[in-house]
Amino acid sequence: MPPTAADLDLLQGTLDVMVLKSLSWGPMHGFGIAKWIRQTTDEILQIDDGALYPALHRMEHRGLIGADWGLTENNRRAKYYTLTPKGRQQLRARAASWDLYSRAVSKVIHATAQPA
Amino acid sequence: MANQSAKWHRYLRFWRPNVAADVDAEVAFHIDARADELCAAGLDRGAARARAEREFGDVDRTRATLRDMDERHAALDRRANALGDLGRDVKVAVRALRRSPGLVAVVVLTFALGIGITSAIYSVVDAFMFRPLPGAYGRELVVLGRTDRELAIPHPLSYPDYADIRADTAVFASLTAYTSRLVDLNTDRGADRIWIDDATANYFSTLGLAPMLGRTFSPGDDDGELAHPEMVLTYVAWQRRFAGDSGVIGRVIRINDHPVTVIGVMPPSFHGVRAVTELDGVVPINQVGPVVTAALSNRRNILVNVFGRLRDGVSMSAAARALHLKAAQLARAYPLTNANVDEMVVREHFARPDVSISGSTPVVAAIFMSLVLLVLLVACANVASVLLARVVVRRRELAIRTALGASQWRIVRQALVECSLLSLGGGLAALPVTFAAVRAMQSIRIATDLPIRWGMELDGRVLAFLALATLVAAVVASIAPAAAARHRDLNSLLKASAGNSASGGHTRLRSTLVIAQVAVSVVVLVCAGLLVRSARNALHMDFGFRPDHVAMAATEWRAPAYDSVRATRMYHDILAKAASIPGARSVALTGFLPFGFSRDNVPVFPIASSAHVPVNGFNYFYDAVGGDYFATMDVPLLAGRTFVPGDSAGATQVAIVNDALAKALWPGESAVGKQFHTRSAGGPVLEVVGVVRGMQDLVPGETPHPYIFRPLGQLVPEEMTLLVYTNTDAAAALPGLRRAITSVDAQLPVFDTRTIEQHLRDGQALIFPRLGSEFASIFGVLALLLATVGMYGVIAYSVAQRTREIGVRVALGARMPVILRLVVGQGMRLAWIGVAIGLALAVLVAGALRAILFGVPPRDPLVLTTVVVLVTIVAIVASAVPARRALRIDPIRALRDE
Repeated sequence: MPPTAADLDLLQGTLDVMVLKSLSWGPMHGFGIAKWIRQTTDEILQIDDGALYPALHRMEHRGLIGADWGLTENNRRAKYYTLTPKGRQQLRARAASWDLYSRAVSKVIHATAQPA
Repeated sequence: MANQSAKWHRYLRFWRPNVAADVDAEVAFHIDARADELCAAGLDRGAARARAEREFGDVDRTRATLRDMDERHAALDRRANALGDLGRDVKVAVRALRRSPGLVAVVVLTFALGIGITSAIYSVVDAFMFRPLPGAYGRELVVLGRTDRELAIPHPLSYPDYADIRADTAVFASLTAYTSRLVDLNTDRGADRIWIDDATANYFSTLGLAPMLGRTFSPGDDDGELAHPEMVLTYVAWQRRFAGDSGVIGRVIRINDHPVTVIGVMPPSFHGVRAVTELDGVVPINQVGPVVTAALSNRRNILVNVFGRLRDGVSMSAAARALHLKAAQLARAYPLTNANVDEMVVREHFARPDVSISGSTPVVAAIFMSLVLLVLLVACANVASVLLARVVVRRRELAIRTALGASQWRIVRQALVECSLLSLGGGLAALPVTFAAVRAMQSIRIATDLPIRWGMELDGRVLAFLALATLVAAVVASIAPAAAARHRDLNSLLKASAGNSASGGHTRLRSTLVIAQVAVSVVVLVCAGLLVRSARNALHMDFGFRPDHVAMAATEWRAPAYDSVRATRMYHDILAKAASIPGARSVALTGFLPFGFSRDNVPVFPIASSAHVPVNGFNYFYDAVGGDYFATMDVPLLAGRTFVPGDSAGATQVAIVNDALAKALWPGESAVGKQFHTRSAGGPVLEVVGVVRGMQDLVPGETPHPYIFRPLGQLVPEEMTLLVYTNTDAAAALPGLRRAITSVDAQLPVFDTRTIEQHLRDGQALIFPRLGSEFASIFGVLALLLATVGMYGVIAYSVAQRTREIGVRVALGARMPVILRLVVGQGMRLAWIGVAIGLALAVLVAGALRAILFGVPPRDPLVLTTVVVLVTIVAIVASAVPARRALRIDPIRALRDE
C-alpha cells in the first residue's frame, strides 16, 4: 500500500536517515542517492524524486552533508554530496534510535497480551 | 544558448555562488540521467524523458523551493563572513591603537568635545524647534495669532474672535483657547503659587492626550462662570504638591480660596503646551475665580492663546486664506475693535516659546545649528589631520603589507575601522560631556517665580542625534586618512615625503585651517575675557541704589479676602513686624523692583510746564512705595520731603519724582509743589512733594528714566515686595521676612525671597552679561582645545614628513636647539599669524559688545595680554610633543629608511 499524507512526517525523518546511510559508502550525486533508495527499498516507498532534493539542500545547510561539483563517468557535471563528520554522527544516532523505535512498534503490533 | 549562459554563470561563481544556475543544473542532471537510464532499458527518447519528469514530481515547484532555500542560506553565509572579517579588522586596529595611547587620547577627547557640545546645543534646538508636543496630534498642531496692521508682531486673540473663528471656520478640526496665570494653591502651610492654564474644555482632545489617572474635561465644562470648578494636574504637580497620591482624584483643593475638584492627572510627558514653563494644571476657563466673564466678551481684550489642528486635507495656505476672510468679516461687523485686525496661523513648533516671535525662531535655530556643525567640522578636520600624520608615519608598514599582498581595500578598510573605533570611543566619551552640558544649561536660573522649564532633556532624540553626529564625524574624519592609505603607488608617497610636491597643497590648506582656528579662538577668548570682567564689574557698579545688605520677599492679596483698605492695613502690619527682625535698620515695601521683570507706566500731563506735551501725554514708569523706601534703597532726596504717614488714601494725592522727570517737565525750576494730571488730560491731579536721585532700572549703566513714586495707601498694588536693610547677612534675614508676612496672615503667599545681590545677579540686570560670559567662556575653552589639537596635528604631520630633512640636519651637526627652533618655530608662526588676525577681529567684535561691557574698555590690555600669552603657551605645548619626536630621530635610520 503506498504511503498516505498522514505518513509524510514519519517519512521526512526517515528520508534523512536513508540519505545519510546512502552516503556512508562515499560521495554520490542526487540521482545516485534516489536510485539507491529506490532499489534498496524494493520500490516500496514511492517517493517523488523531487522530494529528495529539498532534504539534501536542507541537510547541506545544516552541515550534515557537504556538496561539490564534480564529473560523472560520462563526463557530465553533477553535484556530489559527501557525509561530513557531523553527518556521520547523526547517522549513528538516528540508526540507533530507529532500531529502538521500530522494535517497540513491532512489539506492539505483534503483541499477544490483551490490555489489563 | 542555454548551455553557454550556464558556462558563463560558472565564471560568476568566482565572484559569488550563482544559486539559480546551480539548482537548474542539478535538477537537469537528475532528469537527464534518469531519462538516459530509461532509454537504456528500452524506452524511446520522448517517453523516457516524460516518465523521468513524472517521477520527479513538480519540477518547477521543486526548483523554486530549492532556489529559495539556497538564496536564504547564501545570504546568511555572506553576513557571517563579513562579520568574521570585521572582527579581524577590529582586533588589528585595537592592537595598533594600543601602541599609541597619546593619539587615542587626543582624538577621543576632540571627538568627545565636538560631538558632546554639538549634541548639547542640539538638545536646546530640539526643545525649541523639533520635539512635538505629546499626544496623538502633537505633530499636527497649529497656533493662531492676531496681527494688528499697526503692530506687526503677532499676539494672542480676543475670546470673542476665537469663538467666532471656531464656530464659522470649516478648516479647523479642533480649536482650543487658553490663558496662563499664577494662582495660589491654598494649603495648611499657607499658599503655594502655581502656574495654570485656563482653557476651553477641548484642550486635551485637541492634543489627543488621555489622562494617566481620572478623566479630562467633558464638553460643556467651560460653560457659564464658576459652574465647573475642576482641575487636571500635570504629573510634575501631582508628584511635587500631592506626593503622587492616587487618592487625589475627586479631592477638593482650594485655588485662590475657591474650592476646586481634582478630576485627573496627566502622564509625565505633558508639561503644558508652551515651551519654557512648567505647568501645574489646567482648569476650564472662567470656572476658577476671579471671574473673567467681562473679558471673555471684550473684543479689545487680547486674552487667549489659540492652538488647534486642521481638518484632514486642509493645507496651511488654505487655513490662512480662511482666517484672512474671517478676519475681514469680523472687521466689517465690529469696525470699532476689529478694523485693523488680521489673523494668522503658523505650525506650532514655529511659535515657540510664543507666537509673537514665530518669525525668528527658525532663523535663530538655523544659526545656532550651523555654528554647532562648524564646531563639529573643525573637530573632524583636526582628527583627520592627526590621523593623516599617523598614516604618513606608518607608510613603511603599509608598503610592506601591500607588498605582502594585502589588498588596497583591505588597507583602506583598516584605516576606516581604526577611525570608526576612535569615533565610537569619542561618541561614548561624548555622553558624559553632553550630560554635563545639558545639566549645566538646565541649572541656569533666572530670578522669576514663573516656573521655568528649559525643555532640553537627554532623551532618545538627543541620543539619536549624538549617534548620528558620531557617524558623520567618523565618515568625515576618515576620508583623508583612508584616501592617503589607499595611495596607489606607495613608493611615490615615500618620495613625496621629503615634503614638497603634491603634499605641499595639503599642508598649506591645513595650515590655513589652523590659523583660522587660532584666530577664532582668540576672538572668542577675548570676548569671554571681556564679558567675565564685565560681569564681575557689573556687580560692583553704581546702579543708583543699595546693592547689598537688603533682603526681599514678595506677597500678594486678592479679593474677596482683601480690599484696598484692608490691604493697606495688612501692608502696614507687615512693615511693623519686619521692623522687629533682628538687625533690621530700615524696612520698606515696593510694587516694582528696579531690574525686575515687571513694571507699569501711566500717561502724565504736567501743569505749568514749559515742556511740549504730546497729545497722549508722557508715558512714565510709576511705583507705589511704603515704609522708609528711599532710606532702605539708599536713594538720596534732592529736594522737598519723603512720604509721611499723613499721605494716606483720603489726603492730598502726592508724588515724589526723580531728577530725570523733574528735569524733563520743569527744566531749570524746582519741581516741588508742581502738579500733573495722570491717565488723561483731565485725570486725577498729583502734587510733587519731593525729588529723589534716579535709579537705573532697565539696563545697567543707563541714564535713569523719569519715574514717579506714590505713597502706599493712595495706591495699593496687589503684589508688593518687602525690603529689609540689615546690618547683618541679608540671606540670614530671609526666614524673618517670610515670618513677618505669614504672621500677619498665614494664607498670604510668600514668593521671590532672595537677597538683592541674588536679584541683581540672576535678574534682568545681569542675566545677559552673566549668561554671555558663561557661554563665551565655555566656547572659548572649547575653541582653544580644538585649536591646540589642530596645531598638534599639523606640526606632527610636518615632522613626520620632514624626518629625512631633520635627519640630514642632525647628521650635518645641527644641535638640539636648532632642531627645536625648527619645529616649535613652525608652530609659533602659525599661532602668531592666527593671534594677529584674531586680535584684529576681536577688536571689531568687542566694539559691538561695548553696550554690555561695564567698566571694561573693549581693548582691555589685561584681557588682550592674557589671551596672547595663553595662546602662545598652548602653541608651545602643541609643538612640544612632535618636537620631542624630532629630537629622537636617528639620522642613520632616517636616511636609510628613505
